[in-house]
Amino acid sequence: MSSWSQKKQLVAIGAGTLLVCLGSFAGVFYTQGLIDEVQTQTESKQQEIAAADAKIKQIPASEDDVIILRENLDEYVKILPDSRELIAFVRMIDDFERQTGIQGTGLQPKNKRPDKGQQRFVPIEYNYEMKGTLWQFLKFLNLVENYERFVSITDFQITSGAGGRTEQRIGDDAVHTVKVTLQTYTYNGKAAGKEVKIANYDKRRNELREEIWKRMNDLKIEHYDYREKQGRRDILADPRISGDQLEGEKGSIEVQKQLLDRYVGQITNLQDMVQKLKNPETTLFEQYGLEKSVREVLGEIDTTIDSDVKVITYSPLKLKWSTQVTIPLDEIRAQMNATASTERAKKDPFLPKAEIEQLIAEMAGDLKAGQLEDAKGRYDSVASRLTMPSTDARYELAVKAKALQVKASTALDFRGMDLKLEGVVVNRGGRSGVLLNGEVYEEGDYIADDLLVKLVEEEQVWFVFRGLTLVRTM
Amino acid sequence: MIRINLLPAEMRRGNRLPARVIAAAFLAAIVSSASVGWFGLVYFGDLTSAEERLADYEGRLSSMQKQVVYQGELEKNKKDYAARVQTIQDIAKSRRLWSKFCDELIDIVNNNGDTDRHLAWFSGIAVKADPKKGTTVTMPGSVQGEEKSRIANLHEDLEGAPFAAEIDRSDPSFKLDIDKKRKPAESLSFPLVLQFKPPAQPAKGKGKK
Repeated sequence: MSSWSQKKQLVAIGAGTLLVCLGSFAGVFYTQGLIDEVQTQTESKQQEIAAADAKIKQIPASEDDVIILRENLDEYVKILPDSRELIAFVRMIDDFERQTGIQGTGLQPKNKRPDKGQQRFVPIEYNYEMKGTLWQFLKFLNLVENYERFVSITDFQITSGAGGRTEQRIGDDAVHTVKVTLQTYTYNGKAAGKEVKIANYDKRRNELREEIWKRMNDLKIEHYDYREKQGRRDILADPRISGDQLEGEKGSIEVQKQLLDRYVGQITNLQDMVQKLKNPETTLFEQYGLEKSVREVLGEIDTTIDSDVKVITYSPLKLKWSTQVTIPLDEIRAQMNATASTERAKKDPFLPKAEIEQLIAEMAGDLKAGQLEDAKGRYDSVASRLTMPSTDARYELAVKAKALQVKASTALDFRGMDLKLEGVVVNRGGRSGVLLNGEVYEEGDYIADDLLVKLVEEEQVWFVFRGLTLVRTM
Repeated sequence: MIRINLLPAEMRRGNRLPARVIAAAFLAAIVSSASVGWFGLVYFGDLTSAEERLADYEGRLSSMQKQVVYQGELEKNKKDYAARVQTIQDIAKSRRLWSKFCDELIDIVNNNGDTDRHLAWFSGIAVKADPKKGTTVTMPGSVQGEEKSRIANLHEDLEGAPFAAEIDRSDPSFKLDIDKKRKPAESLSFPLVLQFKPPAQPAKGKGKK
């Protein structure tokens, strides 16, 4: 280099410097690319963190939802039978047969159960055949529909048994042949996915009890109360009079119609009289006369109605008899009884002496037998009629009854207290003690303001609760 | 005369670096150092701090991962339970109370004992469920007498039944039948088909939920 000319030297220095600078620029450029890449990754991580943060914030709400749904599901599935309960399902049918009087003639499972390992809700169907009247069948249907487990009737077929040569009857009603398909679902909880374990589950569940209960009410299984026959005609039987009936002794339809009309007329008159009786403008003398007349007519009807009702054999008239005679007659009787009791109450609003004495005797008997609720219930049912003034001759009896009611209430409150007798130490020479709810009390100690340990024996402990001595056995 | 230069080679005037070269070399050294320094700053400064930031975020994210997975499982459970609850609700809603239907039908046919408007009976009732079409109720029936208006009255009363909103009813038609063993012997028989609208379909894959 020393032999290089000055110019050459300067060029070499310049070239070397340029090379170093270019290298550095290239390095910076490359590094900047790396930095951009890292920054992009950082931004992506930031977004992931924000998303994760948002998810983590949702955890308490999600836990609440899971607890509520899990508890709801546990309750909901109770309406569906499990495999073991399918035997109970067959027993249910047997019970309903007995309750309704229908005669079951066959029960066959309709479909094969699919692989339980895969399905959570497995439909199960039974074909059930029976014989019975329309009313027996409807009662059966209603019992099935109101059963505690969910059972649905998907198909049914009733073939009328009325009018044929082989007609069977139960009372006035023809027996029909019925085929029913009963469907339910079993719940296979094992097929459920993995359940997440939530910390402090029981505590959280208690906190969410109200919401769980609210959502539980979302599941509404409709029920219906079947109205029974109520004088209605079997719509699967030809109601026309048959040849045999025409020749019978019970008379033609005309005779039945006349009889029905006579009763309807009498009842219309009775209803008018009862209306007048209720009218505030009716004088006392008129009321007396009307009441007497109503009772006389009712008495007359009572003597004939049982024999006359048998004359009505034409089924369409039976419903009329039920709706236009039986039901109005019951209403008139109820109204007359209500009038009589109102009158009695008007005369003397308090319970007669004999009835108070009977009440006291019955309450005392209940208390002796330990039937505290009965004793309290008896008093509460007539409490409003025991508020006579102290000048009344029955006042002392009413006070006696009240004292028994207080005893019953006190004993009921005592029974409801959470007192766990865990052990006793009987000290003949001094104060005995009792281990109660994990704490030791000696005779004479107060457990609460109104509860005192009176006496401790080997087998029982005597307490004084609100002035009343009560015993708890070990 | 021979002149002999006894100075060492580097001290000799002819061999000394010229000042311009030294200045240029000095300048080149400064520029090179600056550029290498700049690279060093970018590489060991900016890049390292960016990588440290990234590592920090990755650490935070991995610490959150357990909770994120837990939340995911919760959501999965929630969806699963909700689907199962919905299935049970659908099952419960899909049921028709046939005792109620029969009670209402009997009331319509009995017509509170008014036999002048119509007096009808049926030879049977067949109820067949079809998830797509809806349930079909087939009831071949008859009304007493020859008066066609009674068939019309019965169909009219069925239109006013509580279940009427849920059904499509077959149109009235009749055929005169004579049974001399009965009084009156004449009756008009008719087919009656009540088609219930299909229930709202439960959520798909009922069994699989």
